Amino acid sequence: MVHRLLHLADLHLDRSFAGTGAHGELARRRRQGLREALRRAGQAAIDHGCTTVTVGGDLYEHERSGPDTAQFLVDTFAAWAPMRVFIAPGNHDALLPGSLYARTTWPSNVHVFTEPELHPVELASGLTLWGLAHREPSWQGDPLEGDRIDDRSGVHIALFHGSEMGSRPAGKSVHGPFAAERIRARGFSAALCGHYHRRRIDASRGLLYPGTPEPLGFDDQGSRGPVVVEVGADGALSYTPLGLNRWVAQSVGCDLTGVASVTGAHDAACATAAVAMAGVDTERAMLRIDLTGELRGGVAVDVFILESILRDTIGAPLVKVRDLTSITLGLDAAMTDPSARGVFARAVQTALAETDDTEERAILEDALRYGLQALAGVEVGLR
Amino acid sequence: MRLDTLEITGFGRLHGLSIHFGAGITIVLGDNESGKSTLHRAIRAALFGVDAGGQGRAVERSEWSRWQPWDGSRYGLALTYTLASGRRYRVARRLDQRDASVQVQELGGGVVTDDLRVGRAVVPGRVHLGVEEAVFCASACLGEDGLRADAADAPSRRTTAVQEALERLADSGNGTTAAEALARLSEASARIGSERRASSPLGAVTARLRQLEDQMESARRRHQTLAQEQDRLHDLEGAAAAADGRRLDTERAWLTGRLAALGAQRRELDEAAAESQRLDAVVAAEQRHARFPVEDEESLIALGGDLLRAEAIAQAAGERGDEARRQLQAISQRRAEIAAGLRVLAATPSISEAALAEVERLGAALAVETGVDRRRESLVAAESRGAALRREIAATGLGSIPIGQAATAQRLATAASSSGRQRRSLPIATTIIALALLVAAVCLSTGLTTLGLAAASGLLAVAAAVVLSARLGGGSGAAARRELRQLYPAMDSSEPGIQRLLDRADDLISLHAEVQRQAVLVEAGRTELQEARMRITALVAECDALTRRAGTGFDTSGPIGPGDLEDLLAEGRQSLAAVREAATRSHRRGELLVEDGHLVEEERLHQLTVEAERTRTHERDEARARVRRILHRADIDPGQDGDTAITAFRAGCAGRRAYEAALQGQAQLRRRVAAVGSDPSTLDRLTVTYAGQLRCRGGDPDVASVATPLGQGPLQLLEAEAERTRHAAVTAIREATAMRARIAGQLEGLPSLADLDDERTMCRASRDRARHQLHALHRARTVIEQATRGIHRAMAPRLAESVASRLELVTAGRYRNVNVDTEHLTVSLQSGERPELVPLELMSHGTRDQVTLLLRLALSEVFADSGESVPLLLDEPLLTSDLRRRQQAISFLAGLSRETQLVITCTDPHFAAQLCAVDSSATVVTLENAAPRIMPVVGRRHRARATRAG
Repeated sequence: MVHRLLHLADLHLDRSFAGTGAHGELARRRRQGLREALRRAGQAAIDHGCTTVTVGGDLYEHERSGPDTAQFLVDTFAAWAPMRVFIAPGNHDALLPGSLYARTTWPSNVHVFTEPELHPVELASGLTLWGLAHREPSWQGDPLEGDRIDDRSGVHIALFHGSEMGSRPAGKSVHGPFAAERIRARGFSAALCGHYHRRRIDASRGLLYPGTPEPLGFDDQGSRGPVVVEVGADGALSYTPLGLNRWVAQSVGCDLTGVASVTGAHDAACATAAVAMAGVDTERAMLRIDLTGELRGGVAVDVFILESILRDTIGAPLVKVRDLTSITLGLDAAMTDPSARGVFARAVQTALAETDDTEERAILEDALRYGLQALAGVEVGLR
Repeated sequence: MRLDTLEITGFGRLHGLSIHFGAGITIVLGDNESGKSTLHRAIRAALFGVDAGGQGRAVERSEWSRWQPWDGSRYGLALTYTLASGRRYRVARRLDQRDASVQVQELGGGVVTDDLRVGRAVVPGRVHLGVEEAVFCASACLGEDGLRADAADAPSRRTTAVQEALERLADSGNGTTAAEALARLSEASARIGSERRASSPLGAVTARLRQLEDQMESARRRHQTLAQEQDRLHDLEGAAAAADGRRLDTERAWLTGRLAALGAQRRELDEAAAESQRLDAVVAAEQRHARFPVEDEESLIALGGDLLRAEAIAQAAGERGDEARRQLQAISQRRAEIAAGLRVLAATPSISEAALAEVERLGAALAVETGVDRRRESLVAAESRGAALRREIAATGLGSIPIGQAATAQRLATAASSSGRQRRSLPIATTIIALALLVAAVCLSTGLTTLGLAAASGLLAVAAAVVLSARLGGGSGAAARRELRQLYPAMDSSEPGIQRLLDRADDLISLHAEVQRQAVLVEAGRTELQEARMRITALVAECDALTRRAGTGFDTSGPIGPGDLEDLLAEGRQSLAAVREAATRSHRRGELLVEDGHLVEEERLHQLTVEAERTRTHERDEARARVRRILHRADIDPGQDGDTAITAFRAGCAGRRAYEAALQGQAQLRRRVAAVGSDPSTLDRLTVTYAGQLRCRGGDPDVASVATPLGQGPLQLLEAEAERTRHAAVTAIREATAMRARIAGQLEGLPSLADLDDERTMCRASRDRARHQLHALHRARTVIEQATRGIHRAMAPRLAESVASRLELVTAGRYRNVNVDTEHLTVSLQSGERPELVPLELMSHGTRDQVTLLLRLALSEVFADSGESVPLLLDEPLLTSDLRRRQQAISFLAGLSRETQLVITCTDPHFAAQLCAVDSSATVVTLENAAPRIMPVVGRRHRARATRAG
């Protein structure tokens, strides 16, 4: 008999979008969009004939969640009955005392894993789901620790929130580290995971990260959504990714080298944004433009004004501009300049070479920029 | 550096031009728009290149575009110059393309283009002069006001301008002072503001952040409180659900009980109807027993039981009576036998237990004495052994020695035998004496008198000792022999006799000891036999006395004689046997008397048994008579078998009772139907109603209807419990509902943590960004201040030194020293006439202009770290000067040209002539419509030459 499961993870209900520059009404829209994404996932599961929905952690964010979120989840999951819902709490929604998981009376079709080691639940004859819970926000245990499952027959699938160390994105925090090779070694046909926001389906090793149902940051680009996992009568697994996201994230670069005026810089950024947003529903788009290149000292781009212009131009509610440009200040010449300007440039460069502190480096780099601007007789452009 | 030749292929309006510069002053003379300034620019272009735009700079507005040849000729130039070291270089630039090609050739050497490259640009001026183009322009390129001493503006302003120019060059090299830069940084900081100034952006965002922190804290508390309220609601809902569950349970229980009761009532009505029919049938069937004497049943049953027991008892009594009669007969026979035995044992004396014990004690004592024969045999054997030993002693020939004297005889014999050995020692003494005499004779013959006398004396002493010893031993042996003869006169005291005694003395001693031991044994045996005889005699006397006391009739009248001990013992034993026989007969008689007593008792019991048999038979007969009378009253044939008759009577009784029970059942049925109080239709209607209610509460009416009905009391208790739980459930649900409504109200005004967090995060990011900007600005300001201070301190004394080195020359010795302060590079001079330093702005116009020019030169030298002098390019320096000032300036320039190469452009031929008059080595180049021509001789050593390319 064929069984179908719909796996999703990293919904991050009640997330703060301030990091993307969204706040107020826009942030509320984004949070409501996350709830709608969960409803769409449930409907998709029903449409695809799934009997089970698995949630690989970070369903909500504990710091900002409240009773309204709990009621929403209860109502939503109850509406999916008799379809069963299995939740493996992650680092953002760890199973803490006072958490929604602990405080809420869940419908009978919902099962929240509570143990820090994998525990089995039989989904059907010959099909077993193993799950665990993060019981602290910074859990560093190995989810796949333990002996191989040799005393049980049938298909075994693991559900947990963890960091596959072989494919960890740069800078991504580590919670529940594990190696993909351990999935099969432990006896599981697949590991339905959460934590990485980019979708990854590695059928050969049985590793599945569905990614965030909606983009949460500008780097969450591309089609995304839950994945339907089909367990065949012969025990073979197949994966069908669904593209259910309504919001789209784009991140593009704009080289302003040769631009002689602020207007020219604005025009170049608008042109770049228009290309990036072609064919995209801009009502639900979030765009980040990184301004690069070398600008003359007199061309001072104000990112807030540019963001406003871009929002008006392309109609996207969320536009973020990062000024990564450098100003033509003749740093090379300044380094050999015998005047105070040269001494200043050399002193700052020396300090930069001597420090490893990121914050100190950022201050020194900006100090160099501001100082050279001031010594060049142009207005100091803050960034 | 000295400029030698400038060749212009095409640069602005100039083309095909070749100019040779003089070592001192080169005057470029020409009309306006003839290309004089272009020539200065061409020299700069050759030394530092031309900016072609790009990277944010428009090409069309670049220097490269500006100086393209007007006539479209090839764009390029070449400059030849000589360094102080004497090495000459030629810089050739082709500027047709934006990416100009440059070649630098060391004349007499090779291509050194790459050696003069700074970054991507080839800048011989930067390398060989050691100054940036900006510094070169500021210090070496002077416009028309550069030497004007009578400008319209106030002297102080011009001086300030010079100082500012110095500051700009020292601080940034491009016209911005550090103070201006710091002001721009402060202005940027002011745009950010501070956290304390609420009106500034940073202050506003900080204040807002504080508000948001408070709101967040408040919101979190409200969320926490709400969570606790929800926990309470959860508990209340749980309690309400539990109360409702209990209500349902109790109501189900009550309805179940009620339905069970209704079912039971319904079944009771049905059963009553069926029972009524059955009872009617019973009444009809048992009507014939309506008057059956059932009251006699108990009596009959009792009698029947009595009769059965009486018959059984009578039968048993009969059996026991028969046995008793048989036993009585056997007892009579045995008693007759006992009487005969008693008659036989009538004369037997009675032996007491003490007498019997005495018999046993005496018997044991006699048994002990039974071994007297073995002791007598031992005595006889000892006597025989003693005799044999005496015979053996006699056989040794030493029998004359009394028993016990063998050791003494041996000692005396030993002493006697020793006198013989001493007599054998005399020859030895004689031999020694002879030897002594021989030694003495030899010594005397040899003359050794003393030695011979000493040896002879020693030998004689030894011989005397031997003789004395023999004499003493021989005396004691004789005495011993005499004592032997006195003690044992019968013994042979001769030498052989004594020797025989010595040889057999040890055996004799042993034989004497054994004879003595046997004698002791014989003596002890005789004593013991004597004592045994005395004891046995006493025992036999006691036995006889005992026999007499027992009256056994055994004859013990004979005296006890000194006969054989065995006989005495046999006599004692016979007396004791007589007593034992009497005791045995007495015991047997007692046994017969006891048995007879037992038989008398048995006989009496058997007679009682026979009597009881007769009584039980009578009682049985009485019971039979009473049973017959009752059967007769019940019209039952008493003649039939007893069991059959009683069975028939019991059947009649059962019929009578069934009849009466049926009548009673009918009465009870009537009461039960009356107690039910409802008719079947009412019960059915109630059942349907309660079943519906039970079904609504999750119960099963079918199960309930067949359940065991409860009593009225428990049912009422259930109803009360259901009412109580119903009330409790309603109360709990009402509380939970109220709590839910209160929470709903709190939820409506509950702020979103995510919203607040969003804004707080934004504010925090803005604040952090502003802090970061302030830190960066502050850092930039600090470093610039330090750099400026350092540069000024390093540069001021060098400027002063450079100016001072030329000051006397240009001021004709009026001023000797100069001071430049480190704060703002303010210049002051010291003259020989005044002790104090005089600020530059208080100097005369001419002096001030000259010092200003020297400052420019000093700047170029200070910034140039190569040691090369920098040629000055003066463009119309005295355009507006009056005649007197011009003359002063010409003298100054002539003096200056001795140290520095000057390239001066002017439009006034008179100025050129005046300069040539002062400096005869000056070179004059004339530009006419871009075509230079050679001036007529205006100086003493005129070498000016200009050629037109092509």
